[in-house]
Amino acid sequence: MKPCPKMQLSITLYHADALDEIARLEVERHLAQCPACREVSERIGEIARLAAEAPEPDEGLASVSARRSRLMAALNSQLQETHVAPSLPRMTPFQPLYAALAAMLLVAFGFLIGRFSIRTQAPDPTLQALLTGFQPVVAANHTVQPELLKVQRVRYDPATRQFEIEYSTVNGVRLQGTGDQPQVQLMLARAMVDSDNPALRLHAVKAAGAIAVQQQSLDDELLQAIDFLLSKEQNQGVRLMAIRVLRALPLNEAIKKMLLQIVLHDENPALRLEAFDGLAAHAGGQEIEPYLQTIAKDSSSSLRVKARALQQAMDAAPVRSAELSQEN
Amino acid sequence: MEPRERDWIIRAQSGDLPAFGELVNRHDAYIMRLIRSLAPREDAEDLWQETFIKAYAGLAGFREESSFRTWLTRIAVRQCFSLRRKGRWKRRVSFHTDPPGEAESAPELSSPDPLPDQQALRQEMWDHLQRALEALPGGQRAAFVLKYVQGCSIHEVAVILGKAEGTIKSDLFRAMHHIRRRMQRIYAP
Repeated sequence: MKPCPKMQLSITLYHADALDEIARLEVERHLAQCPACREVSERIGEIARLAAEAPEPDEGLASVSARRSRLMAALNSQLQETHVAPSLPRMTPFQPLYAALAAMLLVAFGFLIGRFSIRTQAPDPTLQALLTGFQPVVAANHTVQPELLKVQRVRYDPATRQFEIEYSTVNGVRLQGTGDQPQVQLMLARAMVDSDNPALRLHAVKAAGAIAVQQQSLDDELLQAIDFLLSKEQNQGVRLMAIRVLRALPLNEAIKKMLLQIVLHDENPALRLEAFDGLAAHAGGQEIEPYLQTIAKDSSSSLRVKARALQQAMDAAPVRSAELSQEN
Repeated sequence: MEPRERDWIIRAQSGDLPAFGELVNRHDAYIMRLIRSLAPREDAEDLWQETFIKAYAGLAGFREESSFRTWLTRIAVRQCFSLRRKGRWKRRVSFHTDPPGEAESAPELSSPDPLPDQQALRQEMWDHLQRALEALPGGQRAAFVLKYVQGCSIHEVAVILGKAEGTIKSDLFRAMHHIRRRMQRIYAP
C-alpha cells in the first residue's frame, strides 16, 4: 500500500509544527486510518528527532575559551587599528575655513560663467528656439537637447492673461507670454505629457482651459496632449479637468470622439457624467442621441437618469413643435 | 529579549567590548553548532570568528526588529553561503567534533547513557543524515538545519533566510522527502 500523495506535505508540516489546529487534527485522523502514511510519518518523526539530537560541538572548555580569546584579541586589534591608524595628515584649525572659501569661490565662478556666457552670446532667435523646446538648440557653441528642458512651474495670471512657464535651466530662463503664442501652448502640452508631477500637470491643464475659454480653440499639439491625458493619466482630478477643457471648446469631430470614448468606456462614473454633460449641452443632445439607449443601461444611476431624461425631452420636442404649428 | 541581553547589546553598541564578549559567550555554542551543520568542519572556526566580527561591526545597525539570536544566525548563514559560493561548500560537514575515522570512539551523545550498540547505531544514523544533507541544495539544507537542528520556528527560518514562509515549508518538504528516501535503506528491514 502506498502513502497518499496529497498528505505528504501535511505530514511533513505536522512534524515541523507548522499546521494550525484544524489541519493538525485532520492529519492525525488520517494517520489513524492509513498505515502507509503512518509509516511515512514515523520515519519523518525519527529523522526530525535525529536532527534535533545532533550532538552539541564536543569541545573542551579550554578550546572554547581559546577560541573566544582569539576573537576578542582580533576585535581588540581591529579597534586599535581604527584608533591609531589615521594616516591622513591632520588639518590645521584654519584649513577647513580655507577649503570652504575655495569651494564657495569655485561655485560662484561657475555660476557667473554660466550666467553671462549664455545670456550674452545667445541671440534672441536662439532664445526663442530654446523656449519652444522641441528642437536642439545651439547656444554658445553647445547643443542643448530639448529633453533636458523640463517644465518646472506653470503660472497663469487671469488679470493680465499672462502665462509664465519655468524651465529646468541653469540660468532660470522663463517663458512669458499669452495663450495665443504657439510656444506657450507647446510648452503646456509638454508639461502635460512629460512631467512626473501631477500638480504641475493639473496646472498645465487648467492653463489650457483658460486658453480654451479665451480663444475657443487650441493648437493640435495641446489637443493631442489632452487626448493623451484622457487615455493614460492616473490622476482622476487631472482627467476631470481635461474633460472640462474639452467642454469649453466648440464641439468638433475630434472632441466629440474623445468625449464619447469617456462616456461609453471610462471606468470612472464621475468622468462619464462630465463627458455626457459636455455632449448633451451641444445641439439639444443630438450628438449623443444614437448612444442614449446604451447609456441608459450604465452602471451609474445618475447617468441613467440623465440619459432617460434627455431621451424623454427629445421625444417630446417634435410633439411640442407639432402642437405649436397646429395652434398657429 | 531579556533585559540583561538588551543591556549588553546597548553597551556593545557604544563600543563596550566586554559586553560584546558576554553576547559571544551566550550564543557561542548555538552559532558553532549551526556552522558545523552547514559548512565543512575545517572552516567552522574561521566562519564562527567572521560571524562575530561582522556582528560587532554591524551592531550599530541592529534595531531589534528580530531577536539578537535571529540576527546573529542570519549573519552566520550568510557567511556559510558565502563560503559555498567560493566552491568549498561540497566538502563534508559534521554534526560532531571528532574526525570521521574516530566516530566509534565518540565519547558522549545527547541521549542519557546509551548502550554501546545503541550509540554506534545512533552515530551511523547521524552519518547517513550528514551525507543526505550534503546532497541537498543550499537553501533546502539551510532550512532543514535551522528548523530541525537549531529548533527555529518557520517564521524565524523565513526571516533568517529572507524567504516567504510558504517557500520555507516547500523547502522543508523537499528536503525531508529527499532525506527520507536516502535513509530508506537503513530503516528497511
